[in-house]
Amino acid sequence: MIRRAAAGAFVGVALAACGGGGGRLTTPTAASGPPLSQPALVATTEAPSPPRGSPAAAIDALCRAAGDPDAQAAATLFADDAHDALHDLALAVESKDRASAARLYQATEVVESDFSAAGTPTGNRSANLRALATAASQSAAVLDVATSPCPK
Amino acid sequence: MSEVAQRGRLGAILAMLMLLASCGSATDPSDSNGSASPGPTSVAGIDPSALAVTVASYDIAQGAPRRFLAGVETSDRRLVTFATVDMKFAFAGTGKGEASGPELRTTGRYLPVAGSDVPEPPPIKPRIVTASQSRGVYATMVGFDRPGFWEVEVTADLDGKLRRGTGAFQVLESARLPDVGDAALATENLTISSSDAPPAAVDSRAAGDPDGTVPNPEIHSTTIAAALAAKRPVLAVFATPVYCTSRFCGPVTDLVAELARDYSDRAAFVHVEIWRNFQDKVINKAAAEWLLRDGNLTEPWIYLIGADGRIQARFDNVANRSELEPLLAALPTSAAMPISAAPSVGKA
Repeated sequence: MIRRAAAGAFVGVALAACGGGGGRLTTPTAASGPPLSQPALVATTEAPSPPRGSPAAAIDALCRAAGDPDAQAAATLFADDAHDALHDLALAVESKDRASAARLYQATEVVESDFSAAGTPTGNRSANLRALATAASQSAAVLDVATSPCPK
Repeated sequence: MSEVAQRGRLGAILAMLMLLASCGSATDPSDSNGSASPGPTSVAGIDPSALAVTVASYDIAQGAPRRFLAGVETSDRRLVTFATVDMKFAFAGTGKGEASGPELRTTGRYLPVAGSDVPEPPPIKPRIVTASQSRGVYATMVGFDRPGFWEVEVTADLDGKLRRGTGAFQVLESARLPDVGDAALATENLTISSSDAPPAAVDSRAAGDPDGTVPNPEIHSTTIAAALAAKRPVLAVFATPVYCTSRFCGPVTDLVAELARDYSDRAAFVHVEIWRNFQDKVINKAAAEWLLRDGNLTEPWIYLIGADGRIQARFDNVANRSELEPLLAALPTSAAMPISAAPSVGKA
């Protein structure tokens, strides 16, 4: 029986448990959201941004990176808004659906390789980012977290 | 070959302690002037200015000073980086009864992850950055005089304001993993010549290669056992670049591959992949021999083994070139161990 170290992932879990937004592995829903009596929150017509560190935020970043022709900008989006959340998600999924976790880790590594290797064709990078978003969405579903993959 | 389990009881206790530290003790009750300063408070009552401290060291044992690593983040998951932070350590008890002890104070120096950027000249104060700007931890040398649970309080001067956070960790009576001074284990790790293992068992990155090619043959061509028999120093990295929990496995594996190209006349270089089959929860035997203890496995690790077969140094989780290169440069040059001419293992 093996336990794997999860020091990095713990930060997100701890912050989520403490009420912070970081690393939270749930997506706010109507049932868990703020009470509707807060007019400032219901008056807006814009969809609220998913909490930083959440699977939804990571997938959103992946989709934006996939659509960005600038490799450096895409790499920044990936590093800043997706990478850590994807690791947290994969670790959380490991115990429930190891195959999903494996696919997520592998898809993440492909994208990391794209960014570390100079000259990856934009089309390949974009496709790999979209594939990673799909893998992340499928992993989130394992945790009963509803997310949307990249729009066509 | 073992099965991965969920957190054990000890882990749960430690996790709870860490959680309590993160939730309760991280809030800095005073500002840099020492006056009361409740500061901005979130709806849940958590001070968003408090820092989250994650102990990034493994296998911490009492005794002589050892390298201690801590990652520091803000509540919105940006990273505290560069320069130095103050670290204050305090004994928190054993779980069987509380005991007080002296506080230890040290300075933590920024240790960037291999390949991560640091501006030139380096900042003289810590900064809050995003992961694309820099990624790393703070490192110090500290010795603990007793086993049990300890806390570290990290204080960083960020834009003239002292911000704090705490993390908790366990100090063991003795190291569970091979330690400095121990005889290295003569392990027959997998190489690109291993015909009885899939390529991804040699390096998990091979799983993503259309041809199943094992990358970096310079670190997959010999075994620790063979190098020891040849009385050759070894730099061995134990890591799973793909299925990595700590996020530092890829960079440290790449680093060792770089060093292998530069110092092949001084040492043998070996990468030991953790997983023989991640999906089926099967650990490579070589990784288990070195790192699996009481159902617990941590990675990545880098070990430097001397020509006498003794462990000269070990590095847990984060290591960079500035730490490893001086040790390699100090080794005598010798004829390089030829890299196997065997072709890469395919996905047969």
